[in-house]
Amino acid sequence: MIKGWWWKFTGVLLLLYTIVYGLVADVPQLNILEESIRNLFFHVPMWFAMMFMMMISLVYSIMYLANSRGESQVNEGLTKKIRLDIIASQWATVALLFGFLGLLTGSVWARTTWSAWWVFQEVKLNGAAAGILVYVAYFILRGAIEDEEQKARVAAVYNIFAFVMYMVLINVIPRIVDSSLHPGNGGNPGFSAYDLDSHLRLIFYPAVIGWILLAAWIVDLRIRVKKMEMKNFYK
Amino acid sequence: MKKIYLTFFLLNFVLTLPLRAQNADVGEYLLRGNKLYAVITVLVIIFIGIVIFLVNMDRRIKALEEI
Repeated sequence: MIKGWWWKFTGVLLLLYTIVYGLVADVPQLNILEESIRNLFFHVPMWFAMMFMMMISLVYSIMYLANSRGESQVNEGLTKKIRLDIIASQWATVALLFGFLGLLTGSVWARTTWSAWWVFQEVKLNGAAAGILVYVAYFILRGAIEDEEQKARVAAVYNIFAFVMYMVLINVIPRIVDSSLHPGNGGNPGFSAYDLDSHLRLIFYPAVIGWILLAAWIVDLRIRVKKMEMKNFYK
Repeated sequence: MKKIYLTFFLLNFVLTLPLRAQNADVGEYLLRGNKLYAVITVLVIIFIGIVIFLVNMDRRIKALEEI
C-alpha cells in the first residue's frame, strides 16, 4: 500500500467536495429525473470504484499465481504468497461492499424514476446482481477451504474467472441486448447529452477518485488487521 | 445483547415515524422535495454501509487486543 497520509486526506477532501457540490450545484432540470439526477454523483461512482477495485484484486491474484519463490520470502512472519493473497482478498471484500451499496442505491433511484424497486426486464440490473453473486461465491469458496495455501491458490484462480464473468455480465451483455433502461444504454441518451458545459463531469470524476481513495483506506486498515490475525494464528 | 435489541427497536421506531404517520407506500416518500429525498436516502445507505465495516473492524481489533 502507498505510504503516507496524503492520499487518505485527498480522498476525504474529494468526497467532501462531491457531497457539498453534489447537493448544492446547479443541475440540468429534466422531467422524471428532477433532483434525483444528483444520484449520478453517488450511485454511479459506486460501480466505477467497484470495477477498479476488482481490477486491483485481479492483479494481485495474478501476481500470486505468477510468484514462484514467495514461499521463502518471509516478512512480518508471513510468506510473500500469503501477503499477496491477503491483499487480493481484502480488495475484493471492499469491492463487494461497494457492489451491494451500488445495488441498494440503484434500487432507490429506480423506485423514484422507473417506479419500481427492481425492474426484472432490465438486463443491467440482473447482470449486476448476478455479478455480485459471482463475487459472493468467491468468499464462500474461501470459507470452504481450511488450508491457507490451498485456499489462496483456488481463490486466485477463481478470482480471474469472477472478474471476466463480472465484466461480461455488467458491460458486455447489456450492450448486446441493447434494451436497458439505463442512461447511455438501449438507445437512451447518456448523461453526457445533458452535460454540455461539463458541469456534471466536474463533480462526477472527483467523486470516483474520492471513493476509490476512501476504499483504499478501508482496504489498508483491513489488510493490517488481517496480517495481525494471521500472525497470531501461526504463532 | 439486550441493549443491542433495544437500540435497534428505538432506531426502527424513530426512523419509521414519518412513514407510519403518512400511512403511505415507503417508496412514495422518495419523491418528495422534487425527488431530493432519493438522493438523501442514497447518501444514508452509503454511510450505513461504511459504518457496518467500521463495526466489523472494531470487533476484530478488540479480539486482537485480548490475546
